[in-house]
Amino acid sequence: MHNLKITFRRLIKDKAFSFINIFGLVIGISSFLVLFIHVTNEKSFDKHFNAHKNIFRVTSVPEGRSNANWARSLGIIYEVSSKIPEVEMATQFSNCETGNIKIEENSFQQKNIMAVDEAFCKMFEVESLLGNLKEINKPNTVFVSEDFARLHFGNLNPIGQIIKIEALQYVRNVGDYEIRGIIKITHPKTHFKYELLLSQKGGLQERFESLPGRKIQWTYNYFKLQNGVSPELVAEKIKDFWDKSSTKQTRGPKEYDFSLFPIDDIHLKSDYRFELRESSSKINISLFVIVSVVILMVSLLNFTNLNIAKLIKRSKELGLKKSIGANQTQIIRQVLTEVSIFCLLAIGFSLLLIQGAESFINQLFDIEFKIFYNEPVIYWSILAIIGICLLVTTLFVSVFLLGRNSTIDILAKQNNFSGSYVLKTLLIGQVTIVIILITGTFLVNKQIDFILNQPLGFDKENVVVLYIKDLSKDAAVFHKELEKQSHVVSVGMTAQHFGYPSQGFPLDGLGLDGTAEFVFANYDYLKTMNIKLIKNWIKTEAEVVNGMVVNKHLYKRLMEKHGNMDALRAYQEAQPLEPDQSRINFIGVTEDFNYSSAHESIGDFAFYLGEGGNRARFTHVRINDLHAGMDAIKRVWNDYYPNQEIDYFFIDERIAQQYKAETILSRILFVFSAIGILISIIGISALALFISQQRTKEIGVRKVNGASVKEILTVLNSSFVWWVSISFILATPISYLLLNRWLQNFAYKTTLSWWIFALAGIITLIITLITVSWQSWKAATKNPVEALRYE
Amino acid sequence: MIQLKNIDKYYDAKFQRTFVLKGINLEIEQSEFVSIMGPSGAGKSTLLNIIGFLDEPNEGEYLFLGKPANKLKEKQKVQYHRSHIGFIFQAFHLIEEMTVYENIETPLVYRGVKSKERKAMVAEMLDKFNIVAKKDLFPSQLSGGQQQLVGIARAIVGSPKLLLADEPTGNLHSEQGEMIMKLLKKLNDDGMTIVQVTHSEQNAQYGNRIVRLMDGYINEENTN
Repeated sequence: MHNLKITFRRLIKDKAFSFINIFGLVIGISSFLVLFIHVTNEKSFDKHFNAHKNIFRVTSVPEGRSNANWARSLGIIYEVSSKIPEVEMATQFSNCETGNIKIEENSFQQKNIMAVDEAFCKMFEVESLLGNLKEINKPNTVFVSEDFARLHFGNLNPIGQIIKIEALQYVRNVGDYEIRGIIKITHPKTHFKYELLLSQKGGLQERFESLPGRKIQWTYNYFKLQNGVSPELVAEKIKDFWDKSSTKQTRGPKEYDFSLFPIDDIHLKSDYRFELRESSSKINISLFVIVSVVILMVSLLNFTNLNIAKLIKRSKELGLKKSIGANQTQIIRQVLTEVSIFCLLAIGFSLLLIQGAESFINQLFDIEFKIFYNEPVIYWSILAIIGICLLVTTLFVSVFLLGRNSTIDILAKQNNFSGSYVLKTLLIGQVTIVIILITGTFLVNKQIDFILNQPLGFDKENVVVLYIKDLSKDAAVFHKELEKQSHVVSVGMTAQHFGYPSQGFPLDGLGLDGTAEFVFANYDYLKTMNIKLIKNWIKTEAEVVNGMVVNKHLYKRLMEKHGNMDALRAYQEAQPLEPDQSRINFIGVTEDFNYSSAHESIGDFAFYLGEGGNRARFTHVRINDLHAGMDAIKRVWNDYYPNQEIDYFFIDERIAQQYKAETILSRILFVFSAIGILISIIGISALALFISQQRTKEIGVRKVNGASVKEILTVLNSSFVWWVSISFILATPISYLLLNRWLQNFAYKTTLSWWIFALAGIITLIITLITVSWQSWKAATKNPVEALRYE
Repeated sequence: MIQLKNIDKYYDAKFQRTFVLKGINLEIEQSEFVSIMGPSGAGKSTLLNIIGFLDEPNEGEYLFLGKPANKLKEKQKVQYHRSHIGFIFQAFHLIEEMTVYENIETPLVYRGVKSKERKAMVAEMLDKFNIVAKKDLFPSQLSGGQQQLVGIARAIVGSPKLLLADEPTGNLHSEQGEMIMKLLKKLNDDGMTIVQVTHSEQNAQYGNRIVRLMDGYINEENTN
């Protein structure tokens, strides 16, 4: 109590110091809390399910496709689950991100529709607010979320109302579904989200029942295993059943790799295609952890540094207290009370700051950051921060001030800053971290620039992609109409646009191992995207271009195997043909390019050109004027597809989105190196102030003896230059190693140029010099008489 | 009360040893008022600090109240500081953030005196030195003489047996200095042992014995 009052007085008396000290700490603690809380949130995904440790998602990857796993899997998995005793519960469900539904006369798009069974409700603890979840087993029933009910029915009881399901992802006119209950909204930290839960019986029954016999991966399969059962064992058992099944022998890939993926890991680690909810695998959660700890460390170093400097200044007072009978414990207690008050104030301000900046943070980093005050982790982390602050300061105070110096040394002011190794070490540590952060920022930016400017193999600018849902109308007519517009350069179509999971075909028919990815497209698509053919066997007189265009990668492999195209054709001819199959007709070779992203290396790839099928789903339009072109497209759309909302995106934006993780990473690094620099500026300037104050007498003497301001500045600044140099020497190899490791994540990497390091060092030096000179200048221009009298 | 036998205090530089005190023999009885005099650098303050356990001699024997005090543990030193010895400094060394009242109270807080008793003891001091009206002021609001009064009050509030004063009037003008010296004299008359370091012959006359130091040796002793 006694200490408390005095501390507050001191805090108010030395406002500048208190402000600097608390401000530095607030920035550090806020950054740490934001990152730490975010990481904790991310890590707690799906952990609210009681049995989360025993729940796994079963995946089935066809041979040769292990670089592109799907979250969906074969229907046979669900069928065999009942024959594996280790499986306590199994569920399979389908998910539709956006479907079309109709309530009375009102037709609209609806997100997050899932077709589930009773096991799903049990496994994922679906809570019903109204109605009995058992009714999900009855044909054509639907359960709606409380949000959905409120939005569409207000306060009326929706039970018994009819929802007409017009279209799900792959099926149309599923039928009328009767609302049988209201469910609680999905827990915010779950890797999926449901608005409507449909019964698998009734409209979808035939589709679900046919799944075990087909090699399509349409549903998601989850197992809840018995305690202690090894997931590998279960995967093996599935494989055994598969090997015995008749489905295996049907056309398509023969070998599948079955595995069980723990749901605990889905949110953080999944990079599966068709993931139910965007996962955080690419945001690199461990980087968040590292950065947050680093920032907290920088600010703690700074805090300790300032406090020690201040204590040295006050050592006289501490010595005095010893002379009037204070023992070590009492002095340490006093110092700790002060530190605790600083910490508590800083934490309080930090929480306010975070709360206020929440939406800004979310926007800047594109994360869903939220403080759940009801979770104990918040309080633990706050306690941990106070604990660390206290521990570090106690250590330094007891070792540094009280242990080493006898009382009279303290009273006689025999401590000085420039002689203190602790202060030097702390400062150097802090500056080293800042240099590492700056180099990191430079490199990440360089790498992102490099990737975004990679030759893609096609021209990404000025291409609009229209999503055509109504394939019942002939899209060719629509395309003709579009081509007539003066601002439209060309129109092509594909069933799978850039970045959209493409399809696979086994290469055994061509004498090669593995599976190639391919997309359905038409010849005009290649023209629209400016994809250059390096070999072109297309017969120009043909009305419709039919056949396969492969990429250089696959072409090379084929040539290595067969030598030339004729040999390849002869090999093809020798293969038996199923009744509904036709020979692949090779018509061209393209340059290699990435259809997905630069994270993945280039593999076997092909375009299956033709005009029919659902190729029109993604109509690509190249325009020569953004506004006029879009206006024209919208006009034609509204004429041809009246009452249908136009759904479109630009291909270059979609590509940029693929590097969202890197863009956010660069933002994070930029913001936090800026914060690191800011904290260090605070620390360095306070230290420079203390040093110049302590050397006031020396400066006065030098001036009396004729030193110029410039010479005094040199004297004061030279030690800081020296410290930055040491930090630079320390930081360079560390950051080189770290950044080199990070670059390994990319198939295409930029170079770690020397200038990145040099520039980071120079920037740090300049900032330090400016900061120090500011204080030194004030000391150097002081009247020497005043300076001497002061002593 | 204090017996110093052959006390040496030195600092080692690279190739030579500099003696601050050399072969000091000094005995101080209860209720004496001793003035240590000498030119700058003679070792006066060092001697005072050794007597007050703020510094340790390198050689020699020091008996405090008949007990050897050479190798006292930190804990025992703290005990002596709390109950036997009070300090007065030339630069007052008051704690800037504390009021007059709190400054006087601090040693009692460290000794663990109960709040009620503390109140009474501090009130007595304030009364004795006529500074009741100033009790809520901060040191910076007082004149030098008043600050030193507070310094003395703080030194004697725990009724120590020994009062050590390092040039108590060095920062004061003569009138205030005289007041302080008279006060010390009065404390001595009441039975307190006082050792002061001073430059001023006039101030030295308040004591009953003068010890003159020269380059680390005791040069002469005379009694008033």
